[in-house]
Amino acid sequence: MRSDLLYRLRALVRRNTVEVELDEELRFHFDEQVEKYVQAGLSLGEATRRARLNFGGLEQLKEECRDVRGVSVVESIAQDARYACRTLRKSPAFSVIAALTLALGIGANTAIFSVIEAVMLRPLGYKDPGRLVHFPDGATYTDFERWKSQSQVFEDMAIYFRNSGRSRVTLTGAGEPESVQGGFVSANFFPLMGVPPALGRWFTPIEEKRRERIVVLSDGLWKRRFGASSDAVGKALQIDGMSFQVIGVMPAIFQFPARNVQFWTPITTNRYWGEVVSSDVNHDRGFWVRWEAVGRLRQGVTLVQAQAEMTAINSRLEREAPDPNRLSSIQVVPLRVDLNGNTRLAIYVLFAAVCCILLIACSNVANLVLARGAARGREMAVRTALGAGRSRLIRQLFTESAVLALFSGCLGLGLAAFGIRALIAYAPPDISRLEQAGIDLGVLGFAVAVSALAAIVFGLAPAWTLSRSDPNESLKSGTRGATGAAGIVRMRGLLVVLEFALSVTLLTGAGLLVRSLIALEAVDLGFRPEHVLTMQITLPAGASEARGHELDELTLARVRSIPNVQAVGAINGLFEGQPGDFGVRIVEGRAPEGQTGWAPLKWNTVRGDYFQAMGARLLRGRLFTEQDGGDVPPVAVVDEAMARRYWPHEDPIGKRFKGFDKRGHNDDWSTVIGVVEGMRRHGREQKLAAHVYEWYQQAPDLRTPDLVVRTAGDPKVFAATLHNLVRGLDATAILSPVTTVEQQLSDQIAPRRFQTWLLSLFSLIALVLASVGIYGVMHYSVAQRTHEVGIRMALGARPASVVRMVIGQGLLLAAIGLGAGLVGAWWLTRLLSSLLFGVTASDPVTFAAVSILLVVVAILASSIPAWRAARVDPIAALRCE
Amino acid sequence: MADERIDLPQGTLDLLILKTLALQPQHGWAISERIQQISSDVLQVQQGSLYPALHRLERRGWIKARWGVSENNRRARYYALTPAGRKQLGTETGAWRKLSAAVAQVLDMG
Repeated sequence: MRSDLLYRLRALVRRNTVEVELDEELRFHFDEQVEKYVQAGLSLGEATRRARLNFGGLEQLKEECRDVRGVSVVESIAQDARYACRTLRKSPAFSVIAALTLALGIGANTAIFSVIEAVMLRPLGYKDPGRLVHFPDGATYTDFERWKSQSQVFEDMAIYFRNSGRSRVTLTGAGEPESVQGGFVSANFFPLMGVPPALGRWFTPIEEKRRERIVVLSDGLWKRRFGASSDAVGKALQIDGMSFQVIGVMPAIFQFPARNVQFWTPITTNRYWGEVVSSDVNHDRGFWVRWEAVGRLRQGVTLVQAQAEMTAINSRLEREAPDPNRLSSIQVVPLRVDLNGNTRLAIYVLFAAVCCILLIACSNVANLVLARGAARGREMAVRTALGAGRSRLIRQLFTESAVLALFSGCLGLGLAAFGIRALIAYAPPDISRLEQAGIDLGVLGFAVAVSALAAIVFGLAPAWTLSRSDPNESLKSGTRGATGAAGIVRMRGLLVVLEFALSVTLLTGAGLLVRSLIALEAVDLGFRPEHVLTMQITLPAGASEARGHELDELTLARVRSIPNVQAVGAINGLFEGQPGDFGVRIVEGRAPEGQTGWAPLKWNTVRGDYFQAMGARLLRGRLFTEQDGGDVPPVAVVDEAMARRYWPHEDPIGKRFKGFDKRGHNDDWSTVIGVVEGMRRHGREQKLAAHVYEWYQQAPDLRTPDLVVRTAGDPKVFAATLHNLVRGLDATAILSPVTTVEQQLSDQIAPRRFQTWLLSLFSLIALVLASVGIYGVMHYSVAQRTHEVGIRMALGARPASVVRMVIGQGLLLAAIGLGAGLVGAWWLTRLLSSLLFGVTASDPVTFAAVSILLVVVAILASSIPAWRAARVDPIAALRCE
Repeated sequence: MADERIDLPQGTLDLLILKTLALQPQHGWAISERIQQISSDVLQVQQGSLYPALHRLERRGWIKARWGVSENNRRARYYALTPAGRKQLGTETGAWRKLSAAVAQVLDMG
């Protein structure tokens, strides 16, 4: 058996060699024969002639030898494939539609998969990443030292500053100063992660100890500040005004501990190093003294074992060396892709959507194959009658599907390449590593697998149904070749129902997201963001408060004098996340508020005409004026939420309260002078939180870095002026790009908008495919029933009733699909809940709208075949028989 | 001379090739010469059946082919019996003997 296989393989693979050998073998024989005749006394010419006669047809002999070699299985597949190509070429309309439909499905799947692969599946690029863990809650430096010496489960442990204000630094030097996140890490960090630098080298423990100013750049920073030049190594980078020597560059894939980290430098060079490393156990400094660490588990150690040991170590430390800065438990977490929960969900939803599209595409093509198969019923019947086995027929039909799938797969891959680029270009920038999505081996494999799966899905059912045709029946039934008509009709009906059900589910999901987006955009912001420019001005670390204050004042004065500027003000923290839970210490005339009653509360310092610039609405009282100086009792403007929280059913004007921090300036009574409408600056999706606004003169330790400028006309024309003006005032200040508030708000919902449009696009594609499906079925059904329709019309049926009959049939299919789809949507949209805003997962409006849409589409799709049926000429139809 | 030649019955050629190769490895030409010679020119092997037969036997793993040098110093394809081929030869020889004896018996009757 083995020799047989080897022989065939050799014959197949080394076809040429074998052919040459056969030639040589036969030639040898021929020559020997001639030689023999010559020896027997014949002349050379005569001998050759005799030998040739003797030999007979040389080609024929070779062919016989080839036959014996038996490459027939492979050759018959090739033959089937050739035949399939010919058949597909013969019906170009079918082939093009089928291939395009499938390519759409395969392409969409491949594109979304490549995103999943890049964003979620692709290993992080670390050596043996399964053994890497981190401690998200952090610990004090001393504790880390203890962990390192006391634990048995780790091969090594590297520490770094948590990603926070203390690792944010200012880059200066050539070009605009910028504020970036730096990675302050221990020297064993990179060997532990196992990622070699793309350029240069990593730093050593000795350099770490000596606090040497050396830096390894991220790929992004290298490209941005050094133009991706290979001589970057050895150059200098100004970090917080100090010169650091570049010693290496990391590859783009390396984004740890966070995506925005721009460089890595010895942990000892951080400006807070001394402060944090001293373990002052007598003072609770909470979050700020904690570090983070990443550990590599020893070979064979499980996460559970590691967790158990760390828990044991922690409780032992708690007994032996109590420290208020220590947490009561330590979490050991495997290092993996850090992805926002909603982004993950959105990607899953989109993937489910493209799977639906592929399924719909497959059923559509299966439908086409069946329709064409019906027309080919006679061909099948004749072949069966001539002795082709059922398996042979299935194989041939299946080969056709495979060829089609292969072709569509190639086309789909092209679509996917295009789609990936579009995805990267239009996706909001918050998805980590999305830009690395592309067609690699994994994605290619996926595309091949999907195509193969598609071929099986859309190829097998028709092959099965068609090959079951009874040749007797089919040959008798004449030219129309209505082979196994009942089976085919049933199967096609089923496919259409499936398509509709899937489309309904998709459309409902998309509808809910669209409704959410509309609801979100309709949210009243509480201010007027149009024509408002904003820009953040920060000063390098170490700049004095006084200098900051001076810059803010100067900026305001200068900007105010720009023509067409209507109002200018500033605030600390224009766009920040959801405020934390806080309370105020004392409200005059009220019982003290316990910590349990805390709710989101935010203190802001404002300067200039902040409220006027934002277009905020004053509900009661007055706004700040320059008379509210540092030497008069503090005053505050509060918002509605604050007023409701502490002075419900009362006029808050003139009420007094104290802040939560007794050490600070909040020990004075602050008097409420005005109430403004709640402003949703932190995003439309967030609930209104209570706000207290303080005047800058009365909160002297706070800067107001966010400049807000209301302009007349298009705000964008002021952007450059604004930038240059502030740059002229301070050459070292770090200036954020000047943007409009509208743009910022729009960016906040960009991910949602993107998901919504993508899902809507996918469900529209699904709908179009499904309506093509129902059209195809109705069209076929009408063609099949021409005779019947003819009889009906001859017996007096009016065209209108024929139309009704056909449309009714289409509607029945659609209704069944709709029912199934609504039930599916009812269950599945629940999973979307966290992506919804302002609508419930079972929003009746969406469900009703989708149902109506589907019914309308079904009617439209079946109306063309219905119209055709109504035009049937009874005489022609009957004569046809 | 031509009159004395007879065509080989189906399947017999395989047996004769195997037998010939049992003596020593040979190339195609020599196999046909040998069969002709030993059968005193009665059995003449046509190239048209010899080479397909050789390729068939090789595919079944009963004989193996190797390039060698012929008596007159030319490259020739030599066939040799494999162990499986030797076994097959035994089986087929037995079957052939039985068949021919049976046929002889029938022909000899009455």
